[in-house]
Amino acid sequence: MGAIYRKELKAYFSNMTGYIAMAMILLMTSVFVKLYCFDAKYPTMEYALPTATVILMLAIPILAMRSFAEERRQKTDLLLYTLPISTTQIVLGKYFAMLTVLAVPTAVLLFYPLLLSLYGTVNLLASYASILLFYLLAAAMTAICMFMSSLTESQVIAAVLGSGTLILCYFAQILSAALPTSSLASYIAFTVVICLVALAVYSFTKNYWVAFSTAVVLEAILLIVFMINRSLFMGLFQKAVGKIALFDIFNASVSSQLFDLTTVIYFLSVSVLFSFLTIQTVEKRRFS
Amino acid sequence: MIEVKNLTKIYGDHTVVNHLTFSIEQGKIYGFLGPNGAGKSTTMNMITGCLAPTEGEIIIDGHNIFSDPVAAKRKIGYLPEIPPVYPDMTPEEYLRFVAEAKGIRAAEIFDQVYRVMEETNITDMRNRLIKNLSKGYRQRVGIAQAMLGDPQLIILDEPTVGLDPRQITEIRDLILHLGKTRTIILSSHILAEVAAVCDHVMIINRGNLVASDTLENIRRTHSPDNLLRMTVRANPAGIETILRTIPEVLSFQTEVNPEEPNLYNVEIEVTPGTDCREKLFFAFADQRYPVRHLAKSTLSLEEIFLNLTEGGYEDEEDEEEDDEEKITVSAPDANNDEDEDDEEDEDDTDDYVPLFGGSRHNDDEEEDD
Repeated sequence: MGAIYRKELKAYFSNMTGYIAMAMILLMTSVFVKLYCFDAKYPTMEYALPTATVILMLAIPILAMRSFAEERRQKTDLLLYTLPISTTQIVLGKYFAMLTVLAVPTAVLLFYPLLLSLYGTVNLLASYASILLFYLLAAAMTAICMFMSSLTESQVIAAVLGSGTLILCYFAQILSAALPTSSLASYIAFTVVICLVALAVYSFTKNYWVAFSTAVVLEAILLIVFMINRSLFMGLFQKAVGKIALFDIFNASVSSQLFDLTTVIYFLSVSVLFSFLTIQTVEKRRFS
Repeated sequence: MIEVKNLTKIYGDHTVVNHLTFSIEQGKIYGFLGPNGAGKSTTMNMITGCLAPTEGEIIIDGHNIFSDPVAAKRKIGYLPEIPPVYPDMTPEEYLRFVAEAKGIRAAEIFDQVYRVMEETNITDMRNRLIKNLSKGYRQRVGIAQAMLGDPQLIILDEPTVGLDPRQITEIRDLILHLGKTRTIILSSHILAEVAAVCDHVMIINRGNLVASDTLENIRRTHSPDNLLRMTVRANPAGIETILRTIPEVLSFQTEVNPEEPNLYNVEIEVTPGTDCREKLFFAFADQRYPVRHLAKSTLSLEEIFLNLTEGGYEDEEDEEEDDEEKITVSAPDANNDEDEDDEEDEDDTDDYVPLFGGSRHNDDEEEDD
């Protein structure tokens, strides 16, 4: 894993993408810290960071797009497969390299609360908690974009898929408000989701039976729950969509000024889930 | 060293590799020969663990490549068809990365990297970016990468493809040099390459292993012993009359010698196990027809290769028959069908540009008048 990590890190610092991503994040966060904290004199990161997260939708896909797509395009993935290291080590090596790149602008952010405290009283704990959450949010988004990169051999498609997913997460809260809340509507929506899952299973396994039985089992469970407790479905889909609103979850946590452990766990879970999915996609390519 | 059992790869309903079983012994250079699309790369990718087989088992020095991949992969160095190099790295950086990833101890990395660069002759290029290197140098960087970690087995997939003749010779010499201390599997669709370096040849066609032996044995076992080739100065009618008097002759085929119009090349099929060369010589001599050449026909390696891989060249197959200057005559009890088969074989070989240095008619005996 160490070799992959060092190689990737070197690559980020020897071509443009690493610098572009770092510069974008640093510039936007600094501008908003200046506007909110220094000019408008808010003593925390409550407004500055949530506003600056918009740039992550652009910067993270740029950072992560080359991770696996480029290996496939250059056919260097064959080298990785023949090296005596596991797929998990390859994926984690790459992921940690990206996290290290992200840590650079985040490390600069760490100075701002101190700088701010020269001019008045600053809630240092809340500020640092916000910066930690900001980093974890970026880490979760990186895992999502890394997964998108493992799906294709075109960096552009990887970036577009990544950006698209992040934009969806960004607007998830607003979109969910527009969704119908009746139990039946939720039931139908979940059925659609199950169909999509079955399609995804099919594209992975190329096996009709596995995909079909997955769909049938999930649908049966859904139907049983729906029959037993119809009221549970009231607004359930809306809530579920709200759960993918990474940005809103971050905003809520930061503006509450409470260190919310569930948010930390939530971001970590997203990171782990998408790293796991990436490992599966990379591993799966050997079977196709 | 390697045990491959029942190896099969199926894409959709297309079988790329079909129940291959073979074993590789230590210390030899093996050639994997077959037309494009025969399944060579797929097999190599499976042996090296890049691709999962649909069925079958691969054991490398006691380690199963799928259940014990890390240990198995340590034994192998692999150069895929396209050298897996990072264009934005220099050869030295790249080799250091591979050495680290192969788990070579930090103290040895420097020495090993320099040694493989020396062996592959890329030391002068070590600080240039790989994207600025020529195809030949990239190929060598790829080979250097495969040599790192001193694997006992090196697998090279078409190592000379796209190189100029001098680079091909250099890479070939390098392979011979490596073969002194290591087991090498080399794939190629070029016969000459395999003939030049390999101790043992495996011919693969449409996913099936059609021959596996030394080149000499393949040539011996696949040559027919009932075919004679003769060049004679005579007229077709005279040739026919004489040949019909000899009982061993089953069928024959006459064509004008392209170099001298009054010479005829005759291909004669005789009863297997008989030798009527002297009889033929005197029969023609009696009629004062000078026999310029008469020999048992041995197939060249190329012809054997083409026969074995028949149908492998799907795109290039040309079924057109050209009988323009051919006169085919069958002796009364000759088997017509067989004769036609032979003719089709000839047509296939007609389109084929000889790759091998030797002559098409590799004669073991000559009789001049």
